[in-house]
Amino acid sequence: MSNKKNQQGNTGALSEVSGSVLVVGGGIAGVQAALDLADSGFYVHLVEKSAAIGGGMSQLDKTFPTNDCSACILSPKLVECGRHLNINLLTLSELVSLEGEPGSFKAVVKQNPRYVDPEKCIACGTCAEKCPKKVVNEFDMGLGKRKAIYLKYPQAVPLKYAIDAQHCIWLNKPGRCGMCEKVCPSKAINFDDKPTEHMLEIGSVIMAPGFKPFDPSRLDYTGYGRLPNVVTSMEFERLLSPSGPCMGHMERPSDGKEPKKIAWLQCVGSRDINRACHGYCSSVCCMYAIKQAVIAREHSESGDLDASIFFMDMRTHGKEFEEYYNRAASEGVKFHRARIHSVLPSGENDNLRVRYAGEDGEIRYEDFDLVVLSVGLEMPQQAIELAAKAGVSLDADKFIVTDPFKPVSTSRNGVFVCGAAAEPKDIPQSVMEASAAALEAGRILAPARWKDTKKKEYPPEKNVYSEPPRIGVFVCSCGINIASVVDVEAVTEYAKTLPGVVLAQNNLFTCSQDTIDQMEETIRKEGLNRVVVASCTPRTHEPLFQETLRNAGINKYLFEMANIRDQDSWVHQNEPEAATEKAKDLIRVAVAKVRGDAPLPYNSVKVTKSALVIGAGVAGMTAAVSLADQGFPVTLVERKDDIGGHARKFYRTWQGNPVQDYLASLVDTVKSHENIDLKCGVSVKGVSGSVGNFTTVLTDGTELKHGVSIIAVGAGSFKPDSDSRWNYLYGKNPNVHTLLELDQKFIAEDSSLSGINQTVFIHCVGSRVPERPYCSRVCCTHAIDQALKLKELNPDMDIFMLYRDIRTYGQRERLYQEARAKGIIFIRYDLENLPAVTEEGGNIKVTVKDPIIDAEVELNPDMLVLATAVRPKVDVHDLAKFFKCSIRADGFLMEAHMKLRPVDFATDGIFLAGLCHYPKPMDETIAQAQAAASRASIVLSQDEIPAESITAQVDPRKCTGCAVCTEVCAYNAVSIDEATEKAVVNEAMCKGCGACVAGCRSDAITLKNMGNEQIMAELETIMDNW
Amino acid sequence: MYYATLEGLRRFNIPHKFEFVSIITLYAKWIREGRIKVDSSWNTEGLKFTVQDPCKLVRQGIGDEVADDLRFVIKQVAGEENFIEVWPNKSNNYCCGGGGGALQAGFSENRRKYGKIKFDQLAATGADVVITPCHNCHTQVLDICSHFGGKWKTTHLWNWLEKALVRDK
Repeated sequence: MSNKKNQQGNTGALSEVSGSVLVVGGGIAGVQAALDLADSGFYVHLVEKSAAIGGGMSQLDKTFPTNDCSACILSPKLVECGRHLNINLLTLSELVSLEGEPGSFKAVVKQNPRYVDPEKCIACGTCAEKCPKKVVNEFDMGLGKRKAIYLKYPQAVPLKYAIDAQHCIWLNKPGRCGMCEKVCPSKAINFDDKPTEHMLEIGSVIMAPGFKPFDPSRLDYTGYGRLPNVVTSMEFERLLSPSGPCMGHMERPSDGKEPKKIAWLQCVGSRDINRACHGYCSSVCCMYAIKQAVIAREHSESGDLDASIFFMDMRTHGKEFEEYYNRAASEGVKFHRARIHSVLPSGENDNLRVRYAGEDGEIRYEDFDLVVLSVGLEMPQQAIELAAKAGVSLDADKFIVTDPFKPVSTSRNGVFVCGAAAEPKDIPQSVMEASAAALEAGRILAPARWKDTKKKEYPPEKNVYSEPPRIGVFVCSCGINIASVVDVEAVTEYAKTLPGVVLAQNNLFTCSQDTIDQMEETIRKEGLNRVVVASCTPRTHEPLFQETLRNAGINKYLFEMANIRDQDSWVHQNEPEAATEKAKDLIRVAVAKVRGDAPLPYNSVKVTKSALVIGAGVAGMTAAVSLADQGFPVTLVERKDDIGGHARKFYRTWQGNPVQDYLASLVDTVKSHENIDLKCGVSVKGVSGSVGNFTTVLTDGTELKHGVSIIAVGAGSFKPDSDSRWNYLYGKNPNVHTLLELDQKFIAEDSSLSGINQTVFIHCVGSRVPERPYCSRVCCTHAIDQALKLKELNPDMDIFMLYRDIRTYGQRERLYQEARAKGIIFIRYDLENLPAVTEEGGNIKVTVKDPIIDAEVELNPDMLVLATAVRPKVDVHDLAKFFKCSIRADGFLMEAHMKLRPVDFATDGIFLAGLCHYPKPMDETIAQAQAAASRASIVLSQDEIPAESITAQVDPRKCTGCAVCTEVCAYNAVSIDEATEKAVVNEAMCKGCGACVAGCRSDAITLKNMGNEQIMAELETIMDNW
Repeated sequence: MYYATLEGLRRFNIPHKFEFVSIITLYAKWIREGRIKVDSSWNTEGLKFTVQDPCKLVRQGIGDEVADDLRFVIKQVAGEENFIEVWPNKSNNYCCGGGGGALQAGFSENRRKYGKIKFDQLAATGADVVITPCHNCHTQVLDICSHFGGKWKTTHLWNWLEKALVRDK
C-alpha cells in the first residue's frame, strides 16, 4: 500500500505538488525549520499564536553550556525570519483545519486581530507609555506588569505593538479610553481590526508547538503559590534576565532583597508518577539548574552566593555538560543527592526551610532565601488540541508520536514534528530536529523547489565611479523619539553645509513605506550617488535602506547610517542641546566616511551541485539518501570494505525496534540508489576549494568536484587495556563483555544467555573519568534495555546495575522504571569506591559498596557486562585539517555554534552528523544526519551563492610574503601565491573579519570601504569641532 | 464512618444519590450566606489559633477546599489576624499519629514518639488554641500536648463558633 503511494508520488502527481510549507510554532525550532526551507527554495507560512516569534528561548537569560546570552544569539535568526522574502509570518494565528494529502494539503489558519497596523507601527512605544491599563506580563511569567497595548518583549519580531483584546478598555467598552489612538504618531491604531481566515495551499506541514513549563501549584509540598519565595525555574530566568521584571538585579519576590542562599529542587513535575503524573525525565532541568546556579553566583553582588542543587540523578549527558557540572562543583555550587520532602517557612524573614535526607540517611534541615523549582516540560493544552486538528497521534505522555528510524515524522504522512513537542529536549537537539524536519518536508516537494518562491529583481546599477560625490542626508524624527530631544531642523540645516552634501531633508519616519518610496524617487531625481540616514540602529534598519539604494539603481555599499536615536536621543534625554551637537557630529562623521565609499561587487560563487559524504554508517547513509532523493548526486566514501558502521552490532533501539532489519533496508537503498556513488575502501587524501566548489582527492586517486561535504565518520568504542583501572577482567575472563558484544549475542540468538543465573553491569567504564570527562550518553539506556532483554530470556535471572547516575533522559526513563519494577537491583558507586572485580577459579567476583545499606556487597555473576565509553576516532584529525574543522580537547569535532548551529562547521559548506559530533543514540543520529542534509541542501539548491562584499585586499607592492595573514585567517581565505610570493585573498572565502588587516606588519592588507583613508577621515572630522 | 463510607463508595464505584458534606463546609457556607452571623470581638485577649488538618477529611477525603473552609471559619470566629498557619498543612499535612486504632491499641510510647513530630509542628506556631475537627486527632493532640508539656488548648471548632455567634435579640 505504502509502496503504491510512493510510486504515485514519484510520477504523475509530481507536477501537482505545492512548493509551500506550513510551519506551526514560532519558537526556535519553528524558526529554524522555516529558515532552512525558505533558504532552500520553498515558500513558508510560519504560524505563531502569540504576537511575536521567539518562543521559550526568548524568555531565557543565558543558555548552557556556553553561557551565551539567549536573546543575543536568537535575535539575528528572528530578524532574518521576519525579513525573509519567502517566509510569510502569521502572528496571532492558529491552525483551524488541515485537509488533503502530502504534496497538496489545504490548511485553514485563523489570524486574530492585532488592532495595530503593522505597516504603520514604528514601535516608538508612546502608546504603551500612555495606556492606562496594567496587565500581568505573561512573558515575565506573571512577575511583572505590562500594558494592554504591548510589545511582547524588547527584541520582538515583528517589532510591532499589539492590543490585548481581553484587557483593552476601548475594546471592552468602546468610547471609554482610546488613549493609544490619540497619541500614536503614525496613526497605526485600528480598533475595527477583525479576525481573518487564510486558506493556504501547502505541500507539507511542520509542527513545532513547543512546550509549557510544568505548573507546580498542585504539588503542595513545594510551597509554590503559598510561599512567595518559592519560584519556578522559568520565573527565575526572568529574575536573572536584564529585560526581566528586576532588570537582571536578582530580587526575591517577597521583599525585593537579593537572595544570598538559593536552593534548586530538581525533578519537579518530572520522573514523578505519583502526583505530577509525568513519568518521563524532562532532560534539560539538571543542566539549566546548574547554569542558573553558576549565573546567579556571577550576578550576586557579593559574589559569595550560596547555591545548592537537590537532585536524584545528575543528568548532564550532552556535549560539554559533564565538564560544566564538574566546573560548577569545583567553583562551589553544592550538590545534594536528595529528593526533598517539603519546603516550609522558616520563622521570620520569609526564608524557607528545606527538609531532606542526607546520603547517610540522616534527616537534615537547611534554610534558604529563595527556592527555585526545576520544573519539567510538558505538552501545552493548545498543542494537544493542535495535534488533533492536524490529525497526528500523541503518546501516553501526550507528546507527538514519532518513529526511531523516522525521528521527525508523525503518524500522518506529510506532517513532521520538531522540538520539545515530540519529547522534552534542549535547544541544540530542537534545532537539529528543525533542520531534519525541514529536510523531510522539502524532500517530498523537491520537484516544486523554487516554484512558489519570490525573487527580488533590481534595476541596473548606475556607475558612479567618475562622478563627484552627491550625498543625500535623511534625518529621521522617529516620531518624537529623536525630535523631542534633538533639534532635527537645525541638524538638517547643518547637514546641508557639509562637503559633498547636495540634499538634506527631515522625515517623520524615514522607515515608513511612503518615505522609503519617496527616498527612492529623490535619489533618482536628484542624481544622488551617496546616502546617509541619520536615524536608529543599523542592526535592524540598514538592510532596509540599502535595499532602497539598490531599488534606485545605486550600489548598496554607498550608504552609511548615523545612529542618532539609540546612541543619542535615548541616552541624552536630559541634555537636548548637547544631544543636538552630538547628532551633528555623528552625521558629519558618516558623511566623511560615505564620501570615500566605493561601490563593491555583489560577490557570488557558482555551486557544484553534488555532495561528498564521508563515512557510511547510519549517519552518512541517511545523509546521502536524504540528498540523493532530492536529485543531488552524492559520493559516499567509506574507509572500510563494508558499509553500516556501528549499527551492524546493535540489537534494537531503546523503543524496541530491531536495528538489523532497518539497517539492511538502508544499505539496500544506498547500494541501489541512482544518485549515490558508493566508494568503499578509500578515504580522503586532500581537499581544496571552498563552499560551492570543493575538490577532494581520494586515496585511490579519484578527484571529486563537489559543492558540500558531510562528515559522518563515527566514533570508536573504548576497550579497557589489561592494565587500565577500568579493565574489570575485560579480555581476561571469557564472561566479561562490552554492551556491543552482548548485543551481538542477542542478534545471534545465543541460547546460552537464558541459562545465566546472575548478571552484573558496570556503568561508566571509561566515561566521566579524568582522562575522558564526558558522559557517553547512550550507555545507561542501552545497559538497562539489555538487562530487560535478559529478563525476557530468563525472568528469574538476578541482575545488578552498578551505576554512578542513571541517565535515562526523556522518555527513556520508562525503561528505568520498568527495570526497577522487574526487580533489577541498582547499586550506586562513585570514583572513590570503584567496584572491585576479581576471579577465583574462573568465577567472577564483584565487590561493591552499597551506599544505601552502607555495606560491602559481594556478587558472583555468571556474566559481567561493561558499559564502556564511546570514544572519538583518533584519525579524525587529518580529515579535520583538510576541511579546516576544529576539534575539541576531548577529540570530538566542534560545530560552528553549540546551540544554534549544531550541524554546521565554522567553515561554510561542511557539515557533520553522528558520533563524530558526540555520542548519541540512533534516533538522534538519524535526525542529525537529516539536519546536515538539510543544511547542505540549502547550498546545493542554489545556482550560485552570495559571498561577502567587504573583503580584504592586498597591496602587492607592500606585501613581503611573511604569511602572518595566512596564519591568522580563520577561514582559510588568504594564501601566499607561489609564483609572486605575495599574499592573495580568495574573495569567496573571505568573511571580512579584518583579522589579517590587523595582523599585517607591512600595512599591505585593507578591508574594502574600511581603508586607512576612510578611518582617518572619520577620526579627523570628529576632531573638527573640538 | 465518614471517610470509610466515602472511600467505599469511591473505590467500589457504588452508585449513590447523596453528596458528602462536612459540617465545616456547612459552617462556612452558612456564614458566607449570612444565615448565621459571627463576630470575633469576644477575642479581646487575641488568642491565637491554629489547626490540625485531619488526614481522613482533607488529604484522603474532600481535599484542600475543606481545609480552606476551616480556615475561613476560624478567621471569622477568632479574627483574621489571630490565625497562624501550621506547616506543613492541608493535604500535605502530617498525620497526628492517633488514627488507625493507635489510640486504642496500647503501644502508647510508640504512638507518642510518632506524635512528637506533630507536637513540634504545632508548638512552632505558638498558638493558644489548636482546632481539631476529628475526634481521633482531638484525643491524640490533647494527649501529646499534655505529655510533652504543650501550652495550648485542644478543642473542636464548635466551641468557639458558639462563643462568636451573634444571636437575634
